[in-house]
Parts: sequence; C-alpha cells; structure tokens
Amino acid sequence: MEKMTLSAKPRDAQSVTERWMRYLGFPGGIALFLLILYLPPGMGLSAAAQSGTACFLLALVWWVTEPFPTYVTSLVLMFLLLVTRTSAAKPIMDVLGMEVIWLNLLAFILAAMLVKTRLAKRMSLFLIVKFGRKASWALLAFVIIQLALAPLIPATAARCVMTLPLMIVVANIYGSTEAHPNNFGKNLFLLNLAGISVLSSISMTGSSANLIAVGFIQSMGGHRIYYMDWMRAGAPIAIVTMLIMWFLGRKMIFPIPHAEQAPSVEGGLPLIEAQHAAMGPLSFQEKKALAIFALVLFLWMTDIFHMRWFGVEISAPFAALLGAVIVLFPRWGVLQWQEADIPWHLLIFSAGAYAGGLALDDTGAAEWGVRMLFGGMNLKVIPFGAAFTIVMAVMMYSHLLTTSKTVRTIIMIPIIITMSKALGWDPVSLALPAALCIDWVVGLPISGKPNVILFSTNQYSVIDNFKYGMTTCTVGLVLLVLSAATWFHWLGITPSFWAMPK
Amino acid sequence: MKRILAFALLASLPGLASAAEIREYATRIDVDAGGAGRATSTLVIAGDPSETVVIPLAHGAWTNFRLAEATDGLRVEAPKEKAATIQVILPPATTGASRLAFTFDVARVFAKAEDPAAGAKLTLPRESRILRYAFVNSQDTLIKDFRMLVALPEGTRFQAIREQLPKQTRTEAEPRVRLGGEGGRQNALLRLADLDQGDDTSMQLEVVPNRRSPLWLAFGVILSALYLFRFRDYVATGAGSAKIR
Repeated sequence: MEKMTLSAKPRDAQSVTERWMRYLGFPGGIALFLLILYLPPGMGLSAAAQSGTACFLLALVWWVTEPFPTYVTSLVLMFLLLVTRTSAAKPIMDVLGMEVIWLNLLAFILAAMLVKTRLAKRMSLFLIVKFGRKASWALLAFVIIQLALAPLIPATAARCVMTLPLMIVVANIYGSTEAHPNNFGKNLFLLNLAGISVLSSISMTGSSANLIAVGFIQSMGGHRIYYMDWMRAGAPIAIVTMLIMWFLGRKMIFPIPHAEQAPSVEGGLPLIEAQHAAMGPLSFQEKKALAIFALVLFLWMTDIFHMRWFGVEISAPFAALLGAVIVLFPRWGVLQWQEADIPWHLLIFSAGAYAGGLALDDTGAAEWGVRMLFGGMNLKVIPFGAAFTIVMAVMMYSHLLTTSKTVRTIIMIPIIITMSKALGWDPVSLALPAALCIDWVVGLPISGKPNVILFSTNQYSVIDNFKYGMTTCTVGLVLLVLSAATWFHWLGITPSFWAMPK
Repeated sequence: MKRILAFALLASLPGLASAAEIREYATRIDVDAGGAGRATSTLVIAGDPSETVVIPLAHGAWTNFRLAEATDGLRVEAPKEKAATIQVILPPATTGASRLAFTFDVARVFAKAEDPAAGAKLTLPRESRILRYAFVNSQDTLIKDFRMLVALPEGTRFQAIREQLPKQTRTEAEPRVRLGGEGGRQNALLRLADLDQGDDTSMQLEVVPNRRSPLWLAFGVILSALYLFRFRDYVATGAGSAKIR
C-alpha cells in the first residue's frame, strides 16, 4: 500500500485462449500488414497512407494479442513507420517530446509524491472508511469523484493522474495488485477510465475538442451551441452510462466474487479504520504535498485566466512541471529523483502509439477511411433514425483508429455537417450528438492519455480494456439513439425519428 | 485641400478595380510517362459587356497555347511567349457568364530527385519524382473557385503530399489537396476558393512507381515461420501461463 510501482513486469497469459492469441497474434499481425501493403492502391490514398495503415494495424494486433510487451511493439511500429516511408525520422522521434509524454512523466512525479508522503494512503483510507464497506459503494464513490472533477479540470490526463494514487491504494486494499489483479481492480480502473473520458462530454468545456466541434457547428452549420444546449443533451447520457457501467461492470463484465466484495486486508474494515485513526493529524510532509498539489490543481483549473493574470498561459504539463520542480527541490522538496519511479516503458509505449496515430492522421489515411465509410452508404433512402444510428456508430467507434480527439473532431464533424446538409437535415441534428461522442475514447489502451496511464498499472489487459470500452460505447450509442427518438426530439435537436430526407 | 483630394482619390480606387470575377477556373494536366503534360483550362467569367479581363495562366511553363472553346463574342488575345497572363474581352452583349477553354502543353511537370553534391546524402529514393505546383492570382479579378488537377501516368502513384497551402481553415470541409483517380490513373486536386489579388496556393507531392518490393513478403513469411517454430511452447499441451519475454 505504501509503494506505487508501474514497472515493466511481463504480463502472464492466463487462459488457453490468451496463449493461443499470443502465439497466433505475431504471424496474424504480419499477415494483416502484408495484406494491406500489397492491396491494389486505393485511388484516394497515398502510398504512405497505405503503408501507415498496414503498420498501425500490425501494431494494433500485437498490442491486443501481446506476443511482445506493448512497449516493444511500439518500438517496432516506430521503426516500421520509417522503413516503409510512412513518416520521416524527425516526426517519429519528436513524439517523445509531445505534451502528453511530458504530462505523463511529470504526473508520475506528482503521484509518487502523494504516495511517499502517505497522503494518497490517508485519502484512500478515508474513502474506504466512509464508502468502502462494500466494493460497489467504493466504485460508486470514484464515479462521484470523477463527476465532480470533470467540470473543474478539462485535462483528462490531469484528472487521471490526480486520482491514480487513490485507485492504486484502494485496489490494494481490495486485494488487487499489479502481480495479482482481480476483478475488483479491473472494475475500479476501467470504471475510472470510462468516468474520466465519458464525463468530459457533460459540458462543452470538458475538452478542447468539444470546443472545436462547437466552432464547426457554428461556422459550417450556422448554429450557435450554448453551454446549456450542450449540457442538456450530453449530461444525462454521460451520467446514465456511468451508472449502467457501474452496474454492468461488477455484475456481468467482470463479476466481483463474494470474497472481493469487502476489503481483503487482514483484519478487515476495523483494521482499516484503526489504520486511518492511527495516521493521526496531517504531518508536515503531507501538508507540503497537499500545498504543492493544490498549487498545480489551481493552475490546471484556472488556465483560462492565465493570460490575463500572468501574460502567459501555463498549460497542464507546465503546471505539473512547476509542481515537479518544487517536489524535487533539495531540502525544500519531498522527493528524490530515484523515488519518482518513472515508468519509461509506458512513455515508450505511448510514443509508439502516438507516432502510429499521427501517421494515420498526417498521411490522410484516417480521413480517407471515414469518407469511404460514409460514401459507401446510401443514407438518402433511409429515415432519420437509421441515418442517425449509423452516423453515431461510426463516430463512437472511430476512436479505435486514432489517438487524438482533436484530429478525429477535425475530420469527422465537418463531414457530418456537410452530409447533414446534403440529406436536408438540420446540421445540429447529427453534428451535436456526434460531438457528444468525441470524448468517449475508451476502447483501447492507446485511445487516449488516461488510457495509457491507467494501462501501465498492469491491473487489466488490452482485451479487458477492449471488452469494457466497447460495452461502454455500445451503452452510450443505445442511449444516444433512444435520446434521438425522445429527449433530443423534445429539445428540438432532432427531427422525427421516422422522417425521410427531403 | 490635399486631404480632400487624397480622400477623393482613395474613394475612387474601388471603382478602378475590375468588376469582373472568375467564377470557376479549373485546369487539368494529364501527365505522360515521360513527365510532360497536356493541360486544359476551363473558365467561367462574369463581368460587364466588353470588359477586358486579364487572367493569370494556371501554369508558368506553358507552350503550344490553343483556344478550345469560347462563348460567342468573347475575344481572346493569344499570350506571347513566356507570358504569365492572357487578356480576354468579354462579349459586347453579355447577359450572363461567359465560358472559355484553352489548352497548352507543359514540358516537365515533375522534377527528378536531384543528385546530391559529392559526399552529400540522397534525400529521396532515386525513382522518386517531385511534383511542385504553385499559383498566384496576380490580377485584380477575384477567382471564386480555383481548381488544379494533375493526373499521373499509369504505373505511378503519389507517395505523400508533402505540402498543401494555404492551410485548411476551420470553415473548410475538404483538405486543400485531395487524391483521387479514374481509369487506373491517380490524380491530385488542389483547390482554393475566393482568391483575391496576391493570394496564392500550392502543393508539393512525391511521385513513385506503383509497385511494392517483394522483400516485405519474403521477410514477413520467414519471420512468421521462425516465430511459430521458436515459440510453439506457448501452446504446447500442459503449458502453464506464458510470460512475454
């Protein structure tokens, strides 16, 4: 409980299926790579886009089946991007200097501070004592925490880093460790992952990509979306989805056995209460850690005022950098460099994933894929409800093929607006619900920054992530479609579900 | 008094500007295997009767200019050698937009990858060609919709779009350069709307032979076979949990 490690330990293949997947994943990935590489070229696709798709899908198969550790796959992907002439050396190497990588690195220093000073332990014990008599309540407490943080801190990675130490300690208390993860751990980490991403869609300021979508709807669709317009549509879907996932996760996807329903620390809940009481008042080191974290949190929450106050915007990584400087400062700080336990394997994994995702975006492969998908469907002969379902499904699941919400927004939203106009629908009827899906990037460990961070805890596999993420997206999609027929229609966002194109 | 004169001069300036506008300016260059191109430009021009409109040519290195089609009454002054513009006089009784089409040849559409100086590294594979294209609206006639399509010869394809300017704005649904094709020939379409005087647009693409090295296939098959043999213990009967090593 005292130590948070995210070391690059090998992950065991638990079941026979996993062992076969691991065995066949390697040649399977190569076969898919060769198939795409040698396909007759699509006329709208450059050679670089075709080879980039081949490289990315090879890596995707290897990340899912894990014939190698995920970071080795990332290194292979980066090499392949170069030798297939998908990307030049510089953009591939530059990925390691991206904002997300820096944020990961600095965030782990801050998380290590919370663990070392035992502030994370104190907060977790408090959480368990108050809500953790049953696993279900502990999980619900995290949903509420993520719901409270979502409107305050737009940066999903920052929210993830803030709550990561708590997740690790609570998982430990319920017997889920890096070496022996259990179903409580899977539920805890994946529910938080869903919460961090999905709850960003509650408000239009939940992520910068949301604001880009609002800009497109205004400039291309001619409709201004107000804060409450977005919230009225987005909040019910996000919150109901989280409650459904809270139930489905522990009952059906990863059922929590009776033994994991209560804290598994020897001595049970009384011991945890005793431990919490024994911690006494906040120590000086804890207060110092709290102050540093409060400073970083303050900077994260007030980023829109920075330019006015300081004449410069202190972005999320730089706020964390300031925190790290204070944390590591000799004598005044609370941590030494070697105690930070930076998971370099995670950073390499992230770098490879981002290099692959960027290659798909830069070469135009992602955009081409989306256009081909929509172009191949004749939406003029089907009622609005059917077109709505197709468009939302494409938007929801398309996050599996890109690592950037912003890029996905820039590609998808203009296409959806243009398509709405061509079909004679009000652009808002499809574009606003589609924009609500932007933040639902929960399918794979490479789909977003929090995904990368949480995956490094080794508490769940790529397949677990995929299973949980796809269920979350499907629940969201069903709710969106139901809303289109009812709630959105009453709000005046969508026409009749059975209306035909004009 | 000077101020009044200056003001009057400034106020009259918009009146000096062309009243005409080029509603469509579409050019297609079909490139042959040798790298030379045959271009066809089609324009839709609107303006006052008998108005003279100066049109910037879509390609600077043209030869063999020929008029292909023109609305009745529209007069075209054939451009002199190396001229960058052509002069068009709209019909005297024009009521709507006039249509004009002309063709020309371009001796070399692609640039070969340049040989490096002694001791320097090659920056592109030897078989690569670079397609560079830039257009500036040098005249005061607004071009509402500018399009340049370059169709590659068979057996070649675009490796990558290396440059497309100006950058796509947030009000544009389409990228500046879109790849497409017809009849087995790949093409690149550059487009920009509302080019005022001085506005420019450009693209730079790398062109390569349309074939993949068989080495990828050989390497992939050998590597897969070696892996399946060397890691067969993963699925051997009675194998326990397998660790990734």
